[in-house]
Amino acid sequence: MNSTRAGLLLLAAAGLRAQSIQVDVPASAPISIDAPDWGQSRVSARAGAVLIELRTSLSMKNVSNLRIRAVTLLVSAAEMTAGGRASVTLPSLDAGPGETFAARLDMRLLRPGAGAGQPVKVSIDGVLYDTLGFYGPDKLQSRRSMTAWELEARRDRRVFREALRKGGPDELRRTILASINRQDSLPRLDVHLARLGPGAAVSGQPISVSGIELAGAPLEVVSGSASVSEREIRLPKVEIRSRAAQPIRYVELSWLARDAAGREMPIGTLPAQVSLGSGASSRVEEAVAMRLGVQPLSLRSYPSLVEFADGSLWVPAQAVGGISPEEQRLSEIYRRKGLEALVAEIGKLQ
Amino acid sequence: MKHLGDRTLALLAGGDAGWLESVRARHHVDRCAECRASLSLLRSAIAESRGLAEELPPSVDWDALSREIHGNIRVGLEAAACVAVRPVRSPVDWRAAVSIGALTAVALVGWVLNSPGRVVQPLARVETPAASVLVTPAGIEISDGRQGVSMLNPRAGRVTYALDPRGARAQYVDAETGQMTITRVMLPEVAQ
Repeated sequence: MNSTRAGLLLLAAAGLRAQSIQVDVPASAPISIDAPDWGQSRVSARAGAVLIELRTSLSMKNVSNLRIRAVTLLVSAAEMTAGGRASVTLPSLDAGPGETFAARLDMRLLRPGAGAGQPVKVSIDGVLYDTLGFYGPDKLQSRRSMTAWELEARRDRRVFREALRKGGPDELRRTILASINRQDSLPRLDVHLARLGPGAAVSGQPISVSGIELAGAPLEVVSGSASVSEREIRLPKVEIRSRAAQPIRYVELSWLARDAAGREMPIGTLPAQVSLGSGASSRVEEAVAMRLGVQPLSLRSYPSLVEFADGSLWVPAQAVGGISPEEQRLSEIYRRKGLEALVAEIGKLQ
Repeated sequence: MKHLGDRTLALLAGGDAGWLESVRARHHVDRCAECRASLSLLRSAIAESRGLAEELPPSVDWDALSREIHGNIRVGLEAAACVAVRPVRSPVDWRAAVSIGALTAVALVGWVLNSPGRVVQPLARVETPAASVLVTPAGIEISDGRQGVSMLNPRAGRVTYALDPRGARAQYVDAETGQMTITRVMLPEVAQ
C-alpha cells in the first residue's frame, strides 16, 4: 500500500463516524432516530478497493399518538449499482407512544479506489400502526409487505392462542415444537434465479404446475407449466382465476418443488401486477430461469398474497410453504426463554 | 423417557458423534420432540458461530487480490536481494532474517487470503446482466463485481431466506435487540 492510499484510508476511517451514514427523518415522521454510534465500524483495504463495515444500533422513538407495529428503513448507497436499494424492517413491534426500540444496522460496503465515497443514506420508507394505517413515502412498497407480515403475525398468534385455549400448556408446547420441526425439516435454500431477456427460448421438457387449493382464497391457480432441464426450471407460467367480489391488482405466487426423495421445498415467489375483475382469469408468467440444488419432479404454486383494488390484503389462513417472520420469532422465544415467555407473548398482542 | 445428555447432543449437532452413538442418538431424537428442539437450538448456535467466521464477501475480486499479493512478494524479494548484496558482518544477519520473516509473513497472508475455504459460497442468487444479489450465511449482498453492499446478520441464530426476481430477503431475530429483523436488497431495474 503506498503512502497516499494509506493516508486516504486513514482519512476515510477518521471521517467514518461523521460522514458515512446520513440519517434523514422528516419533522412530520411518527418516529425519531437518535444519532447512531459508529464505535464498531471499521475501514480496511482489499485489493485496490475499500471495505467499509458499518455496525451500529439505531435507537428509535415513537413520537406519534398511535401504537406502531412495523417500521421499514430505506438504505441507499452509491455502491448499490445505479439504483439498487436495501432495507431493514422491524415487524411484530409493539411500540406505544413515547416508547423506544432499536434496530441493528450491520452493513459492508465494497467500493473501488481509496476515497471515502458518498455517504450511505438511511430514511424512513414506512411505518405501520396497529390500526393498519400507514405513514411513509412507500418507495419500496413496504406498506404492502409490512401489512402482509402483520396479518400473518395475527394469524400465527391466533393459532398458538387457540392451542393454549383448547389443550393448555401441553398443547401449546406440542404446537410450537411441531412448528420448530417444520422449520428444521425445510431444505436449505439452494436456488440460482436468473432473469431472462425478452424472447428467451423454451428448452427442456415441459412440466405441468398444479395449484394448491387454499380455503377462503380469493384467487385460484387453475393450471400452469414450465420447462425443466435437469435441475433448471425455465419460464414458469400459470393461469389464475379470481374468486373475489372486488377487483384484484397484485398477487404473489409462491412456488414449491418436489424432488425424487419426495421432499417439497419453497423455491421462490413470483410477484405480478394484474387487473382481475370478479371471476376473471389471467396468465402470470415470468421470464426467469431457476436452477435448483436438486432435480424437480413436480411443481406446485399457490397465492401467498393478494392485494385488492382498494389496497386491502389477503394472506392464507394457515402457513403453507415458508416460515412467516412471526412463526420464526415465536419459535425463538420458546427456544431461548421457554413456554411461559411464549404464553406471555401470544397473550400480549392481538 | 430418558433424554439425551448435553455431551451427546453437542456431538450430534456438530457431526462429531461416533457412528454407533450417532445411530442411537438419532433413533432417540426421531421420537423425542424435546431433544429434537434442543438439537435444533445447538445447530442454530453452530450456524451462528459459522456466520461470525465469515469475514470476506464473495464479490471480492480474488484475481486482483492475488495480483496485489504477488506484487508484494516481488517487492519483498527485491528488498531481500538488496539486503543480500550487502557485506556480511556477522554469521546471522538480522536484516536478512527480518526480510525472510517478512516474506514468510506476506506469503502466509497470501496463502490464507487465497485459500478457497475463505471464499463464502453463496447459498442462492438472483442474477441480471447489470448486477447480482447473493445470499450467503453472513447476509445478503448486491454487487456488480466491482462494488457492492451487504446487509449482514452477525447476531442471528436461525436465518430464513427468500428469493424473487426483484432480489432477496433475510429474516432473523437479532440477539442484541431481540427484534425480528428483515433485511432486503433489491435489484436496480425493479427499485422505484
